[in-house]
Amino acid sequence: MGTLTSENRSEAMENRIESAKRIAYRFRQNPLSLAGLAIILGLVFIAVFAPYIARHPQDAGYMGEPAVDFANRFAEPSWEHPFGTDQAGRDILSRVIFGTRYSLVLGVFVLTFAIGIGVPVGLVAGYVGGALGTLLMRITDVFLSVPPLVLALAVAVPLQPSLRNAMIAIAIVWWPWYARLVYGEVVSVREEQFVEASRGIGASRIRIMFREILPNVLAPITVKFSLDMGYAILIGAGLGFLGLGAQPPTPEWGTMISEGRVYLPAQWWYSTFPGLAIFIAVLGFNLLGDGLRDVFDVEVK
Amino acid sequence: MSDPLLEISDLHVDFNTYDGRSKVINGVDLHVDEGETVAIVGESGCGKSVTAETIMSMLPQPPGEITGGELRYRGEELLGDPPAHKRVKAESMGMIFQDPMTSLSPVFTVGEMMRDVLTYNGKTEVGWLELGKSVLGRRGADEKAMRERSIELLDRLQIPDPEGVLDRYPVELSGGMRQRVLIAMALLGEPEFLIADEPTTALDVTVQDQLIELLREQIDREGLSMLYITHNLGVARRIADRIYVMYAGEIAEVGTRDEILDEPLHPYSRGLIDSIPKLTAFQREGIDGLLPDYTEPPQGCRFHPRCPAAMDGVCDGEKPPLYEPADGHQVACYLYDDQMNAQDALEVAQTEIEFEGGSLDHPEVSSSLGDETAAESADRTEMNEPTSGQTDGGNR
Amino acid sequence: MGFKSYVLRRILSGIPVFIGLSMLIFFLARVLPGDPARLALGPRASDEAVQSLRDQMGLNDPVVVQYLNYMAGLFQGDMGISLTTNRNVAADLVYFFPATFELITVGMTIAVLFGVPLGIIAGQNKDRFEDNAGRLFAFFGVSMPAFWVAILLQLLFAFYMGWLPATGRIATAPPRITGLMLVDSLIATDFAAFRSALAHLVLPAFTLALAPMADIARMTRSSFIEEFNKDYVHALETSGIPAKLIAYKYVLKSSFAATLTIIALDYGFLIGSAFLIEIVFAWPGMARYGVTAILENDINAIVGVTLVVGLVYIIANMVVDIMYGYFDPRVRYGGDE
Repeated sequence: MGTLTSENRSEAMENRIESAKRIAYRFRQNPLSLAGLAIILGLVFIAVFAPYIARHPQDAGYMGEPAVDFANRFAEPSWEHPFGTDQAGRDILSRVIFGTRYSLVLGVFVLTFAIGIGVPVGLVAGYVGGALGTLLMRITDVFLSVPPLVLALAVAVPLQPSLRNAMIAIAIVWWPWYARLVYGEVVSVREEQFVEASRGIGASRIRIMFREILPNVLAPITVKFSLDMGYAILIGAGLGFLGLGAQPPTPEWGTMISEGRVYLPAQWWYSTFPGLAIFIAVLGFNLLGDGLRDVFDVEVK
Repeated sequence: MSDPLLEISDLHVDFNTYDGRSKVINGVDLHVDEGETVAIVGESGCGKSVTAETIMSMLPQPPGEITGGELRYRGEELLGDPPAHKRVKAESMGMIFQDPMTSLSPVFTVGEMMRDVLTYNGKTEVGWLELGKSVLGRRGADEKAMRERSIELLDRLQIPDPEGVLDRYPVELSGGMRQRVLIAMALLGEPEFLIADEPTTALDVTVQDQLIELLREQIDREGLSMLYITHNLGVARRIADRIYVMYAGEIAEVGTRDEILDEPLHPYSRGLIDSIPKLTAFQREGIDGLLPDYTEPPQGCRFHPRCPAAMDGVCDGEKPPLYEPADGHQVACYLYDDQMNAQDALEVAQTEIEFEGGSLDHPEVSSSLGDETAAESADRTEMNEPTSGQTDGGNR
Repeated sequence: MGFKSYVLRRILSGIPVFIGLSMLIFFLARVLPGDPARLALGPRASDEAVQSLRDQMGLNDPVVVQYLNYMAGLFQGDMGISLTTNRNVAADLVYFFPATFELITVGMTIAVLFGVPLGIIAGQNKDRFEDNAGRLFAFFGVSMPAFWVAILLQLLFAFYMGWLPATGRIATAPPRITGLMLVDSLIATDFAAFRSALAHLVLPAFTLALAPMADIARMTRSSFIEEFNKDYVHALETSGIPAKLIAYKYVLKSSFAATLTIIALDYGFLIGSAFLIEIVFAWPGMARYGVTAILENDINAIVGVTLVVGLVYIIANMVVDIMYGYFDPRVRYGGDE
């Protein structure tokens, strides 16, 4: 059986390379998804090198508390302050640049947590089935019966408002989406031949779950991950806007919009530019996710 | 000889796929005379469905592309004239599809669909007001007559309780019943020319037999012409007057039913017939190998790599022309020439073409995998992807 | 199986979900760290005060008893006392809910009325200008934070142009009957009030509609295209039925069924957005009540708001499923595809 397996391996490897090539080909055919990828790479770059890109990193709280410069408060957008300044005279552009860090971290944390919980739950519920599976999916359904933002609000209350707790609250309401996605996929591939085959040769349940079934759900998870990054950033900003996320003077985008709202309509730039940043970031993830959806040919929601 | 009802000459269709450009139809000539039933027989992926799609102007373009040839209906050229094609299709043609599960709208009752066919058949335009009325299900004065006509037709197709079937949704009917409804829908518009694309493949064998019989009766009764597409020579034998044997986008052989079944000349036709299961013997012979890659088809005769009688230096040169050993019996193979008569040709066939035992490619068996060429599945992938513009020829 | 029994089954299946939901929310509110009484009174309150509030709120009972008491109260219209308004939460919700309901209903109506035609136009012009423009709109619509759009629209149409009111719900309210301003003003035949209510609704409802509209357009487009390539379309075409009838009768009905599932999901998204948008437009609805409760750590009010939102969402899903069954008979016959 040894030689057979190694032959199968190299063949599988070839198939994998071939399908990767096709995926790359199809991806390149879609300029919008390339634009999305470019936006995301740009955001990551900005987040990593924020202190070097921002002209006034100290205004965003880099190496200490955010600086204040009251002489310069509410400066209109200018060459020195392209996005204007806020009520404490801080450079909004620099704060928006640092805000990239919070949003990306929030998205990645929420989704890592959601996938870490949701995928095993979906795998177990779908593959093991029985009473346990039913129970797990009933719980999942209950979570899914409340709009995510509202449930996140309810969870955020007993915790003190902070960025960390906002992330936890969102993560708690997010995993069921992955559980249901994985569950659906697992149920549809469960009875397929290759799974039957490896059960026949005595592979353990865990092994079957992770080696045989999981690879089949990777494509929809990847697509959903990308689309959800945008959605998580939106919800995170929403919590910040409601005052339940990052607290001022943290340069988090949603929090900044909320602060700026007080000074409307005169200081229009205060709320406008952080919102623009959210829009561009979310757009990037949506473009990429949509492109991936086409490439992998999966429909997820 | 009068003009044929439908005539295709030198048709070329390409598909653009990830692997390159596939010449899926490569110079096909075909005609259907008035009152005649013609079958195209070939294995899955030989291009017979693409031919049908071209006739019905249903070819997905892109990735498909008609690169040459003519399609004439009663002498009128249609490929270069989409409005005319549309008109002729709506007025004179009907089609019975392969899969009865997907060929009826799932969200309307059988009666509603039949009523619309009767009301609108032949009209190319419909006003918004009229449309609104139809959507709301408002019935016209001739409702009763239409209902009777529908019931009569369903009854003729031996559908039990035709009255009740009219008020049911397709999901409530069995596959055989749906296929009958589908035939009724195709006949309802009173076409002169029908295309049937493997209408019985999805059904049980016994149901298949009944349906072929019913279809035969209806065709005879109305004096229709039909192009019947199948991978199954046994079915073709029962329904067709003439048979085209198609291989890899080319016509290999054409002749009357008896000529093709009893005196096949092309090595491919002989291979196909050998692979019809015979009840008397279990041993079967067939053709080794698979259809060629359309992006780089074999030089010359596309069948030569699989052909037991292939001649080096001949068959891999030019594409073979159609020789005509008997009137109307044509074969694209270098074993023959125009000087031969039917008797000579048959002798050549019997002495030269010898298949080895074992059949890798039994059409009955391969049909169970569905009738999809790489190109067809590629275009289906394409269709299901609303936002992408790329093509991919792979069966994943 | 008939349509009626399908509807009945669907309604009954909502009940366990609602019970599960009530348990989830209730236990989340109790299990998560933080003492509701302490949170309500603030860090400087004396321990005795906290303790007596705990007794008063029943927080010293076992969680299961608390839950059963709460549910028993719920059926009698008692959702506990709100710490911010000092009234029963149920009474508060009856007061605030209609405003939110009016907003999300009008918002969803706008989303469907514009989204579906946009999707059809894009679908019929696949890969042409209309389609590309529609796709861009869809991407923008789902990517823009609703509260930011609200602010921009408010800046533009209320502050700069002065065309529409920036905040509030109506200038002078008609006598309260349903709590829905549009309906109440019509009942009172007060057309000035109706116009005022409408003018106040335009910006928040449109903002709310934007993301679901984009999503619905996207879904309609793709299901429209997918349906158009089905065999039955070719079959109908070859039966001589005009293209327009096929598109707007047959294809539309099938593809709308697919769109409905998205509408159900978007409804949840929309309720979430309403929480943010009510803040921007100072809309006196449940969301604003809920956010205030959250900021004030008013646990009864939060549980009440979340429950009602969940209930609305469950009912919306139910309605959508029933409509789905109406549009697509495969669903109610158990379906074989």
